[in-house]
Amino acid sequence: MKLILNLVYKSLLNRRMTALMIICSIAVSVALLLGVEKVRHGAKQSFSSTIAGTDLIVGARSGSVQLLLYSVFRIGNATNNVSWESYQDIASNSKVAWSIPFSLGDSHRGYRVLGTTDAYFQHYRYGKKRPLTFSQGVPFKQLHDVVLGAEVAKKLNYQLGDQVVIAHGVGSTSFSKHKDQPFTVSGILAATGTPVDRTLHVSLQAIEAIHVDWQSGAYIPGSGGTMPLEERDLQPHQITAFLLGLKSKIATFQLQRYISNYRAEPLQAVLPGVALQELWGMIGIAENALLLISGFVVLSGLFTMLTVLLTGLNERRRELAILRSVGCRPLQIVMLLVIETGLLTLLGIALGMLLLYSGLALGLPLLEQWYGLQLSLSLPELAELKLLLLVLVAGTLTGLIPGYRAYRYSLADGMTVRI
Amino acid sequence: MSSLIELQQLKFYWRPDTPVLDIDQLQIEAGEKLFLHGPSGCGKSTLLNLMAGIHQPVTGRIVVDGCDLSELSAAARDRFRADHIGLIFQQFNLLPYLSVQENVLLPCHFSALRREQACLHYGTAEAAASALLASLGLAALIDKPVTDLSIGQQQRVAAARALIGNPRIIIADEPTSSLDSDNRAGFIKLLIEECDQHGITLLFVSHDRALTKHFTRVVDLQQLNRAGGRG
Repeated sequence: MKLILNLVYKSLLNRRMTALMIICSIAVSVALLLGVEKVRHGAKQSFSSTIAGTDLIVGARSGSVQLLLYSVFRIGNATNNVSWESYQDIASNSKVAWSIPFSLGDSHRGYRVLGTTDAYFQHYRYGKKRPLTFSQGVPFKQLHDVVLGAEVAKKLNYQLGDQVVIAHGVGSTSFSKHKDQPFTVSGILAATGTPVDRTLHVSLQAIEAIHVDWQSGAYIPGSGGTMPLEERDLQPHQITAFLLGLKSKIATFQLQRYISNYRAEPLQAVLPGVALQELWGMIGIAENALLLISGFVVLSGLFTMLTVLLTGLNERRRELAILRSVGCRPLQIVMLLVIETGLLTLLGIALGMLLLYSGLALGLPLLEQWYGLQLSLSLPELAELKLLLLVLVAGTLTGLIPGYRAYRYSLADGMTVRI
Repeated sequence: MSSLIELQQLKFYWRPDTPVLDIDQLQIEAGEKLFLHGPSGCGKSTLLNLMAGIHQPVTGRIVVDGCDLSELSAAARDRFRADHIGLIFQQFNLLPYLSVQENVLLPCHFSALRREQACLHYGTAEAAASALLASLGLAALIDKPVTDLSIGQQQRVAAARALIGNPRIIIADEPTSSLDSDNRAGFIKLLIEECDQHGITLLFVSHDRALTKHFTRVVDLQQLNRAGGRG
């Protein structure tokens, strides 16, 4: 056995160029497989940590996924609103610790505008219960202050103090703009890797203010009267949704039932974790497709190895005949080739992991900064180790094919060495 | 009844309508230096493969050293070959990625018996290899890669490998055909000397009749083989 290992090692060293190419091809495919697995894991992680610390999301009655999509992911629109009175009533429930009202419906160059209150900056949590932090500036104070998400500021190149005009509706090329009331950037949030990055935040009163002269979705200057904004009561009449934090988690289901049965208007409350899981179940197909593709990349890496080894085998018939003449048994020759492919695969996996981890070590800060994707530079998880083991077994078993060919050769050639 | 190799009523073919070998009887005594010749295609390679236990005869018996090869399993024949038979080919006998010494030591790794016998005489298998290489005039090359050697030197290394651990028989299949005539005579002399010294029977196959003078007995396979030979 030691001899076989020694022979494999020296024979490979003798063919080091080919061996190196095989190892590289396996390394690249393994790095890709693991990378996809890591990104997949990271994406799921950051997806499920889009919102944290919130016990209930409340909105007009529709579907839980839809409510999650428009309130947290800022995708799609609400079918109906929640009246201010209902919000006040539920928010003042004795079980509620805090609440964040959301008023959606306007946009700025494709980015959603969210009307909310200071509670948003205090209580909103994402990831592992991380609070929102400001990279520059402060929360909105004046009526026409706006706080930008990290991506909005970066992509649109806004600085503190810049003027921003908000468009009515949510299209990226809306023609009806609230030009009469430009906003001033008062703060920019740090990147979170969540939809917060793609949101402009203003106060609820600001949302009311810019809609003063709007009647049934059309801008009619002067139709809202001539009273200056400062003197008006800008109390909103309705909001889109709101988040609730409870004093005790135990009360969650109780309050959820209470909201579902709310008499004044049809409302629904969803648990963010449950809705997120439901949503992930729907988009999980893409995730599996990604894994499938990288699986095929590994397969093609193994095929490369197989091709190279089979091509080289004919030139090694002499080597095999010599081994056989000194007493090497055909099964030992099969073993020789299986160990060889196993070793090549193992080295490929090792190099692949080295590639991936050094790549990650270099790229992680950039990934987090640009995409808010938080991958951990941790040791491979059990699932990844299982994948690697699968690759190793498949690679080693690949050796059976040239091994069988060699077995046939050594039986047929016998002592007659063919060149 | 003390023949080292005994062939009886031996028939071999791949397809029944084209017999390759048909030998009534051949006996080789222990210690003989047999020269087996015949034109290419007369069945030399097949006969060697049969005697080395690679192929099985279709009918008939091959008894080598009292052991009927046709009764052994494939694995047992492999072990038998490793223990008792040294082989030298026409050329390219050596594994290019091993050193001279490692090439010579190969049989000792596959056969415990060969290793034992090498150690019996020289203490260690490595010492046996050194001694053999020295007596073949290769002492200076022991740690060289085999790719640095001339063809004549390579053939002598192959001879050392066949000799190590004292097998009963050495089968040499045209080992001198790639050598020039000076080297050829020198190689055969050395090989026969070593075989004599260790009591090894030599079966030397060639189509070059000029070499017959070195041997104790000459057999013409074309006359022996009633099938006429196809392989």
